[in-house]
Formats: sequence, structure tokens, C-alpha cells
Amino acid sequence: MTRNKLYLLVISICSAGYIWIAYHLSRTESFVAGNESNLGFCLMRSITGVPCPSCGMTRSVTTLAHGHLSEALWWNPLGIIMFASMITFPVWILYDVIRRKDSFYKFFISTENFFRNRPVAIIAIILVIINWIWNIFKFL
Amino acid sequence: MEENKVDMFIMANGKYFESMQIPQIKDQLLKLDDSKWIMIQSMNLKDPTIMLVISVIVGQLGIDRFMIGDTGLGIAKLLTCGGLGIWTIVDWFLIQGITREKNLERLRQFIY
Repeated sequence: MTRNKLYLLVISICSAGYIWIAYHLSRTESFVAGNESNLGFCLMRSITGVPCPSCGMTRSVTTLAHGHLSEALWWNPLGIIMFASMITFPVWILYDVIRRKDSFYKFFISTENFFRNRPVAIIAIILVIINWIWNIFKFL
Repeated sequence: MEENKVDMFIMANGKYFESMQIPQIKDQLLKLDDSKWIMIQSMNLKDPTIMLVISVIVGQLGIDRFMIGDTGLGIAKLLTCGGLGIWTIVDWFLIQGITREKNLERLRQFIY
């Protein structure tokens, strides 16, 4: 994956994310666990009825946008990572493009290598599974 | 390397690569010396068909991306619930081609 391809991809994903969140923020409705009209298209949920580890991300990020940290943590703790990424990545990439550097690219590669380590990967997988089980218990 | 060994390799492993690349691969293998034969035999290549099956079943969790080595994209796919489902579907179509490219890269590391 080259630097420019990566930057383009991340910008596209962040843009899609922003549009998605903006759409949800503009709708004033109450979040109910399992409320179908809120949800994105989660294949696993529509086929098996079991939520996936990142169900509740949209609700988590939108409550964070309103500033409710503990509520966001309840919906999905991974939302914090998503929120922080959506804010920092576009700014970082813009900085790199203006300064003609590749610091974000290096960050991406080093993060990939970090997670490729066996112990780190196992811990991350366990955390994701715990989050998944919690999601199921919350009837997300 | 002897021609019949090369032919054997290609017959056994042709499906792991794009068909357009096979003539080039054959040329390179013929130039290679025999000591690398064992290394080539034990190379860990990913089967595109298996990757497609994985992508269809658990693609939403990004497992298909993790398996072909795209760790960063796999994490992104996992965090976004399969890119709101859209990325999941897109990857159903892309995953076989990408697997074959990655296999080719791996082979290149060995034979160049």
C-alpha cells in the first residue's frame, strides 16, 4: 500500500464516517437498545440476530459528539478509538500533504507491525471478544 | 531448476496466482538454482477460494483482511462493522484478486 493510496483511502473512510455521523446527529430520536431504525447495515445481526463486536459504534460516537463520555463507553468502548481517529487522522494527513511528509504513513506501518506481534494480537483479540460478549449481554 | 520440477510446482500451485503471471513465474523458476526448491515447496500461500469463503462468512469482522496480512485495514474493517456493510460486500468481489497479488509478492521475495 503506497502512501498516497493509503491517504486517499483513509480520507474516503473518514468522509463516509462524517456523513454517516452527521446524518445520525441531525435526526432527533431516542436511542433504544435494539432500535432498528438507528442501525447501520450489520450483516451478522440481520442474519443471526447476534450483534457484532462493533455494534453500537454509531450511537457511541454520536453521544461522544454531544460530550457524554460515560454513555458513549456504555454503548461501545471502541467508539472512543473511532472518535479520536476520525478527528486526528484527517488533520494529520492534511499536515502530511501540505508538508510533503509521510509521518502518518509511518505511523500506520508501525501500528500494523505492532499488532502483528503474537502476544499483542492475542490480547487485542481477547479484548474484542470480551467487548463482543458485553454487546450481546446488552442486547445491542 | 529442472523443467519438470517447475511444471510440477505450477500444476500444484497455479491457482494461487493470476493466470497472466504464470509464464513470468515459470521463467523465473527455471533460472533459479535447485537449492531453493525446498524453500519454494514449503512456502505458505493463501488459497483464494478459501479466502472467498472466509470473506463471505466472517468478512464483517475483518478476518479476511487479517488473514492476507492487511492488519491495519482489518482493524478498520472490524471497528466500522464491515464498513457499514458496504466494505464487506466490496471485499467479497476483491478478496480473490488481492489474495493472488499477495501470493505473488511472497513468491517474489523468495525467487528474486
